[in-house]
Formats: sequence, C-alpha cells, structure tokens
Amino acid sequence: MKKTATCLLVILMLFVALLSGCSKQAPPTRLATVEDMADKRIGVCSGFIYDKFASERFPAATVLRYNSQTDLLLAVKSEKADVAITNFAAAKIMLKDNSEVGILTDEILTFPIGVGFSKSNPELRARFDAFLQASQADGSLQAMYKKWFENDLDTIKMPKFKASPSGRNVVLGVAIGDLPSVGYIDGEYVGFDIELIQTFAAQENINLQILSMDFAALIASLATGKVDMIADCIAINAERQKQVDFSLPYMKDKTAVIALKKNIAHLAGSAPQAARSSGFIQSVSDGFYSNIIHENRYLLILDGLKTTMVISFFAVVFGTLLGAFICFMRMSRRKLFQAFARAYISLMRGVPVLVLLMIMYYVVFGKANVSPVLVAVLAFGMNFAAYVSEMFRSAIESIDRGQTEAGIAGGFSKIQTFVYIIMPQAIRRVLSVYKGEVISLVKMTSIVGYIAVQDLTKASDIIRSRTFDAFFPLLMTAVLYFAISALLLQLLDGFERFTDPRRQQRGANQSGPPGAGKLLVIAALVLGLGGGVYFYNSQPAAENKPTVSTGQIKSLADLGGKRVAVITGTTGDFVIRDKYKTSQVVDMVYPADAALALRTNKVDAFVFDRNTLQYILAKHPQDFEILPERLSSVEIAIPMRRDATDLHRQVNAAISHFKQDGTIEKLKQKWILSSGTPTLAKINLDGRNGMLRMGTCLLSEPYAYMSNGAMAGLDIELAHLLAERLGMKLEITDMSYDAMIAALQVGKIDLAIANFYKLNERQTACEFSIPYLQNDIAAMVRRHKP
Amino acid sequence: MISVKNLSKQFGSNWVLNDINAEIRKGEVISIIGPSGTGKSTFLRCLNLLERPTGGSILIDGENILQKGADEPKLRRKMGMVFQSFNLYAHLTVLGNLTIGPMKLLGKSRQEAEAKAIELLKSVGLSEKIDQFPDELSGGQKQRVAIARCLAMDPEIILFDEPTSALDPTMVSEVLAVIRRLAKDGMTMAIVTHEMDFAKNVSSRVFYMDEGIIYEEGKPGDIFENPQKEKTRIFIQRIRKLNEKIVSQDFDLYKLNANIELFCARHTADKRTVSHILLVVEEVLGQLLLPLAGGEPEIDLTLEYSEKTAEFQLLLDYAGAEQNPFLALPDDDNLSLRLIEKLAKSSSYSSVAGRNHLTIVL
Repeated sequence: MKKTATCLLVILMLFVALLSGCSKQAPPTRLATVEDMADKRIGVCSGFIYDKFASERFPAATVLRYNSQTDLLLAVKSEKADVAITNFAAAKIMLKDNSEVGILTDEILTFPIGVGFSKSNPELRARFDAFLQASQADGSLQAMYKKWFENDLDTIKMPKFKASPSGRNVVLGVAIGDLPSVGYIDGEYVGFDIELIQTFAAQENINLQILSMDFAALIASLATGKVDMIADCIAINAERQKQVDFSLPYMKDKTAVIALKKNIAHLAGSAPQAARSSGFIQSVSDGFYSNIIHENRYLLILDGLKTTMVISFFAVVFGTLLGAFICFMRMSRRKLFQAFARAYISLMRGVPVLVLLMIMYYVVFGKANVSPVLVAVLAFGMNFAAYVSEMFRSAIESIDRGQTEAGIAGGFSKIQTFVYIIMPQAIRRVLSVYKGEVISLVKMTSIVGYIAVQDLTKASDIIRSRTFDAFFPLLMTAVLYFAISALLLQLLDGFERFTDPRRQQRGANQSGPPGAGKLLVIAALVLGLGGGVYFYNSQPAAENKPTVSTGQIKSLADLGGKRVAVITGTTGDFVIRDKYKTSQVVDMVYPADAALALRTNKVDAFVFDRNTLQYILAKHPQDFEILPERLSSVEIAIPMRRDATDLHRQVNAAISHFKQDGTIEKLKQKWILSSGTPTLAKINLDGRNGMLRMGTCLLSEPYAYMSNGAMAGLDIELAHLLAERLGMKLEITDMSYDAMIAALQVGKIDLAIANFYKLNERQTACEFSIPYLQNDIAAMVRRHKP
Repeated sequence: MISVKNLSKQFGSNWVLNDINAEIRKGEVISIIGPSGTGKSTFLRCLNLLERPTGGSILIDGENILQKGADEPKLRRKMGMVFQSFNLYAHLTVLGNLTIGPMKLLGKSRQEAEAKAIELLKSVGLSEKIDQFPDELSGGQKQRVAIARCLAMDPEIILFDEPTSALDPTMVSEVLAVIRRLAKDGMTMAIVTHEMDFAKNVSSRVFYMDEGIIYEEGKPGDIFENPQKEKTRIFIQRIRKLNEKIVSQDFDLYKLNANIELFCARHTADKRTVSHILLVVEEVLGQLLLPLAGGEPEIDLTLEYSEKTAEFQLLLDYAGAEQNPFLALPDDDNLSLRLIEKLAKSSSYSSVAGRNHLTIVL
C-alpha cells in the first residue's frame, strides 16, 4: 500500500514536471555589451519611444511589444524576451522586487521629457513653459523630482490640491504608465507628472480633468482635441514634434536595458539560485515558490488541511453514531420509529449535500452565531448517517438468522446477542463499503467553501485566484486529498484487521492479554480523536471565541478584530488579509451570500468593490451602509488567453475606443448609477470573424446576472459591444471565478469578462487587457440603529 | 421437570400446535418423531421460547415461564439447544464459541472457561480443533462443537432440533455417538429426529407427533413394535399407498394395471413381483369379487408398500354380505384360488358391519 502510494506520487510529480517543462526554450547566450542585443528578442512597451529605437538600432533583433511594464517584466522573467528596454525609474522599481533581474546598461539612450500640447493651443504651452522656468529657478521642480524619484514610493504623499471648478477647463491625458510618473492609487491620480501639472493648474486657476487612455492613443487624442495636454513621461522627439507641441523638458529620462542576471555577463555570478539553470526544473520550482512559499501560502494550505481533516473526522464520528441510531430506529418494531427513519433516510439521500449545507447554515442556524465548521460537521454527518444506516442495516440483515437464534438460545439477552454475536460479524461485513463512504465524505467536504469555511479546496482556490495558476494548487490539493484518503484508509484497514477474528483470536489466545495489534489500533483511534479535538480547539473554533470585538464599525479602522466577509480571490480579500491582520476573514463565494451573511449577523462587514456594494445597498437601504473611505483601488480588466495575441491587440484597441468615445461611461451610468432596471441593448452579432468564447459569472450584479430570463449587466453589454466590434459571435458560459481561470489557461474560453481585477500576480497565468473601469474597494456594514 | 399443558401455537391462520400436553422428567431422553410439518421443531422451540406460544402453559420446576416477567435469558441458560444448521458463532474460534457464554453470562474467568472448554472438546473428540474457525470444520465436527457449546453452560436439559438432518450420512454416526454417550451419562434431552433406529435404542420415551398434537407416546418398544394408531403405524413402517376405487363391472383394467406398475416401479419392485401383483389383482377382482358384487360393485382397492419390511400388501374393502371369497368359490374355479394361494405369502378375511376386508400379503 505505502509503496504503491509513493510510486503513484512520483509518477504524478514527474508528469507535472514534464508538462510544465516542455514549453521552455534553451537559455540565450550571455550578454556583455549593448551590441550583444543585436540578435536577441527585445521587449518594449508598445507606443513608447523605445519601440522605434530598438527596431532602428538593432534591425536584426526581434522586437516584442507589451502593453504594460508589468507584462514587460514578466516577459523577461519568463524568458519570452531576452532583454527589455524601459525607462530607468521603472527599471529601478522592477529590480527592487525581482532579484533575478539586473540592468545590463543605462547608457543607451536619454530623452528630454516634456508635456505635449495641441498645436492649436500655443498659449497654454507658453504659460506652462513659464511655470516650468519659474519652478526651476526657485528649486521647487528639483525638489519635486527628488521626492518622487529618490524615495520609497510607498512613503510618498501626494499633496492635496483644491479643485477650481470656476476656472477654465483643461483636460489632461495620461496613460497611467507607472509610478513615479503617473499612477492611480486609491482612486486618485498620483505621481511626479501629476503633481507638477496639478501645481501648474492650481497656480493658473485651471479646472483640471484627467482622462486615462492607452499610451499609444495619447498623441492621437491630443491631435483630435479630446485632450488639451498629455503627460506621462513622454519623450520629446522629432517625429512627435510634427504632431504635437512639446513644452520645455521638465526632466531627462534615462533608459535602462534589463535582462535576467544570469544572462548578463557581469552579473551572472550574483544571479540568485544559479542552480535553476534548467527551465524544466525552474518552472516547477517557480510554481512551487509562487504558489506555496510566497506570502507563506503553505500556511493557508496547512490551515485548510487542518479544517478539512477536522470536518471529515468529526463528520464521520457523528455520522456513524447518528447512522447507528437511525439504523436502530429503522429496524425497530415500532412503526413510528420505522417511519421516522425511513423518512429521514429518503430525505437525506434525496437532497444534495451542498443544498443541505446551505440550509443548515442560512436557515437552521440562520440567526444563531454557530461556527460554520460545526455546521459543516452536522450537515455532512447527517448526510453520512443516512447512507451508513442503510449499510449497517443490510449488513445486520445479511447475518444468518441462526446466529441470533443461537445467541438467544444460548442465554444471551437480545442486546447481548447483538453486541457479542451480531455486531462483530456485521462490522466486518460493512467495513468494505463503509470505507468507500468515508472516503467519499472526505472528498465531499470540498464544498464547505460555500459557507465560508476555509478548507483545503478553498485554500487552493484562494491561492489560485491570487496567482491565476490553476495547475500547481489544484495538483497539490489533489495530492493532499489523496493523502488524507490514504491515511484514513490505513486507519480503517487497521480497524478491519483488528476486527478480523482470525488474526485477533489467534494473537489473543497465545498471549492472553490484548494483542499488540489491538493496542496499536486503539492508540491510533485515541490519537486521531485527540488530534481532532486539538485541531478543533486550536483553529476553527477560534471563530467562535469572544475575541471578536463587538463595537460599532464607524470607520475602516474599526474593522480590526471584526468578522469581515470577502469574496475569495478579490482585492478586498487581499487587502483585508494584508492590512487587517486582526480581522477574521470569512471567505464567501458569491456577493449575495456575503450580503446575506452580513444581514444575518454572521459577519460584521463585507469588503468588496464599491459599485457592487452600492448596488446591494440600493436594494436594502435600511439594512446596510457603506463606509465612505476606500481600502484600495483597483483596475478592472479582461483576462484573456495568453496565446491569443491577435485578440489581445484587438481587445485593447476596442477598450481604448470605448473609453474615448464615452461608451464605458455610458455603460456605467446605465448599469451602476441609474436607479431603474436597465435592459440589455439589442446588438446584432454577425459573427463574420468567428466565435468569441467568453466566461462570466452570472451571480455578480450589476456586472453580470440574469434578469427576466436573459443575461444582463455591464459586463454582458460590454461583451456584446466588444464582439460587435470584433465582428464575432459571442458564446457566453456561466462559471465560477475559479473555473474561469482554469478555463482560460486550458483555452476553453478566450476571455473572461466578470469584473476581474487586474493584479500583477495574475498576469503570469493570463494576459490582461487594459483596464476598462476603475473601482474602489469599500466596506459595507450593517446600518447602525440608534 | 418440564410440564407442558394445552400448549398451542398459531402462525397466521395456521394452527401448528393444537393442544400439546407432555411431561419431561429429569434424566429422560425423549425422542420426538413424526412426519414433516407436524410441529415437532415448533414444539421444541416453544420449550425455550424461541417461538412464543399462542396459548397454554409451560411449567419448569413448577414455575410458569409464559408468565409476564419471567427471566427468559436465565431460563434459557438452563436449556441448551442444538440446531439442525449448527449455528456456531462464525466470528469466534471453536474455543471462543465455548467460552463466550460462560464468560459473559456465568461470570467465569477466561482461564476457568477455557479449561472447561478444553475438557469438553476432548470429550467430543475435538481437542485438536480449538483454534479453528467454524467454517474450517466438517458438518459432523461443527455439530459436536455445538453440543460441547451447550454443555459448557452446564444445562439441565438439551434440546436437539434434528441434529443430524443437515449431515452427510457418513457423519451422522459421530454425532449420534456423542448424544448416545450423553444419554448414558444421564443428561436430560429432547431430540427431534428422523433417525428411527437411534430413537428406538436411545430414548426412554417416544412422542409421535401428528396433526399438531402428541398423537401417540410411549416406550420405544411399544411405539416401534406395536403402534396403537394407524397413522403411527404408517409412519413407523414407512408405508406408501396406492388407492383405486372400482365402481363398475366394466372398469378400465388396463389403466389400473398401468397405475399399479408405476407404483411398483417407484418402489423398486422387481419384474417378477410386479407380474405377480398384476396377476393376483386380476384374479381377485375378475374371478372372486366382481362376480359376487353383482351389478353395482363398490370395491376400494389399496396397494401398500412398507419401506421397512419391503413387502407389498393388497387390501380390498368392499360392500356386501359376509362371505369369505376364498371359501365361497365353486370347485371349477379352484384354479384362481390356487394361483392366489401360491403367489401370496398370506391372506386373511374379515367382515365388519356390512364391509368385507380382504388382505393379501405378497
């Protein structure tokens, strides 16, 4: 048994390694000088000046264009590009968190950076130039530069600017390239360029509006008059000057060439983990690192494992006892008992255990503050009891009547006959099927995530939602479930051997006192029980303990120590876990469940995106209120299949277009901010360019949901508009968030539109479009009733 | 010791036991015999309340065990039972089967129980098998273990429910030998059995059960050699019958012959015997009885075969004035008479209330 298990594991691991290894290429030769880049794959951000520079300077090189700095870095790390050219400041930030990447050189290109103005508006440009000269003269420009470029970005504070609604309207176009130039944090535009222009606007009494767009669209929108000025670390060059008037340069931008340290001749020695030379091993260890080691994720798995084991163990114990009792009633001569047992068995067997679990949690214990782990134990135990009671009955009935008669005739009472004669034989007969039922119970517990219990499956879901890597967490979960099952099987096998009369009697007869086998099994049972009690006391029960503070939540600061519902894998989830360590995070699957939990006092707050929260609030204005502060801001984008490069381009172009022509704004007005019940616009899709397969989650109002039997929501309408623009037919599949990630990875769907937050970490697994919405993460609490 | 009065047992609408009265005294060995389905086993199972009687009373040492509040398990400890299908505890070794009762019910220590068990197993010749499991034993061995299991509880009486019926013929004797020895040692026993020789030799009394009652009881010599009642006789001698009625002068002789031939064949009579029987039947009917009967004959013909004596017997019962046909024949028909006298072993005639009985043993 043990040997087989080990063998299986090894084969499984090899299989994984093989699968993940075969997509890798051999590493390129090392780079010593700039000229070594000539025949390499060079990554750049599309629309940046480096794009053109790279193709002109290195005609033999392959230039790969990426949408964001994050993608660019990822390309280098995953060796899709050998080197990347980007601006020096951005490179510095990248290097901070990625020790395997180094700078090959920063002496390849410097640009003067300026603010672009429309050629038709020289007056504004002249005023800006004057402002620049003045601030250069008094040193304030230099101070501002120093502040943004030489400090840790997390510590920089953006000064507050007064709005000047009365002043003249000026629209600034930015691309939100990255800090320190332009970033978007907590719903505000921040960065050196922003501060500079805000200062200018404040001085000139300008009512500044900022519009974000794709970098490539900046120049065009200036030319068409959509914006009045553009800034985002834009290099001044001759070509651009044909279309745009530039201000005086307000800084010089150095350019850096980055590559993996091991590929850079003078840095190869300092490359971390030099042993990871083989792509094959490396991808496995990368996966292992990001899914297990990073952010101590193994703790999540361990906690989940503990919870799964606790639920399984106690559900089996409780279910077996209850099953024995039901079996007793079923076999009783009393009609009432029989009828009750029959009803119980058919009811429990006829209701899906997931539904039973939800009923127990939301209905039976709806108002009571009971640990969801306990609810899970009860629900699974009840289900288990129905099945095993019938097993017990058939095993007991299969024992020859003569055995009972012999016992009775031999002077035993009915109960003694059952205990001494029938039960030992029945247990032996029932064990083989009972074992199977136990194993299936263990696997069945994987649905407890629905009632906010963080078990093994949920832990893997959380990791998956964070890394977007379906492969490693799923496989590990599978292996762990297998291990739990194998362990339980071993225990039950031991019990089976213990009940085997041949072994037991022979051992016992020779040695007199109970044999070693008996002791061993008893020890195992005691250990299991003790362990279970320990686990139960140590972890899940903690949710029940009065460590929860009970005060009224008036601001985000009060979230500490409270029970906070989050949707697994959302930014709210991460923020709460990172910043509010004393809060008890309650993982939910759907926003509706979380709102229900909040209303029924199972949690004290629900952290999610503000749009959705407002939508929920609109339906239950008496029950909830939303705290005005924001926890974080997020960009909402469309994850796409990695390999569909054409699609990436088309989708990005479409979103840029939708943002510029106000479509997105209209959608937002229609679906989120309007008070009516909007309906989906009729859009005819001719499908001349084929089928676009899209995943969504129809339980996320107001983005995607069912209304009057049809799909509705912002994301659904956006999807239709997107498909129309791409000339494709739309095939929408409703699935859970986790399923979408996996579906994207295996190419079952092309993209997912479901209010997905764009996170760096997720970009290892799929390609994100440019963001189409900005959103806040906010907290909703029960309305305070004085 | 056990006194049964007006015991009755009903299964559904079927009265299996009607009105049983019996007395079993200490040291007696009672054989309960009778055709199948006459309630022998049910009677035995009622004695230790494996079946709950419908009516009547069972007094054990003067105490009515059918009263409410009687301690049934305690009562059963005094009465061992040996089943037709052995019913050894399948999950226990031979030793375990013998020790579980004494240990759990009589409060004996393991050492004590095992010592006694080993001694008992020795006495039934199975001391080598103490660590075997029931399914590793032959039928005869199982039944001997079952008997030893009863003895381990020190019973006052042992009830045997057809202890050899499920056994190979070769194993019957080893079990019977054990029971025989128990009888010799003075154990009180009630044995439902089909082993007639055994019942005859071992029992102190025999109950013949039929029609749900104890139809006839007595010493084995009386029951087996000289049963008082017809049903008992038929059972003891294991008699098989063929019955034909002749109600016309023109009856179908060929059909009668065919039936007789079939009956004989079923009881493995040889060809010569069959032809003798056919000849005698034809002569008796055609030459002796039909001429006497006149226009409307009313003859009841029975051909009996006793498995015990392997003899055929022809019984003729007919109406008419008392007249011995063997004497009434005119001289010129002496040929038929001679023939019958030659073929039959013996013959007899009697007449009671207008019915004539003619018996011819062949």
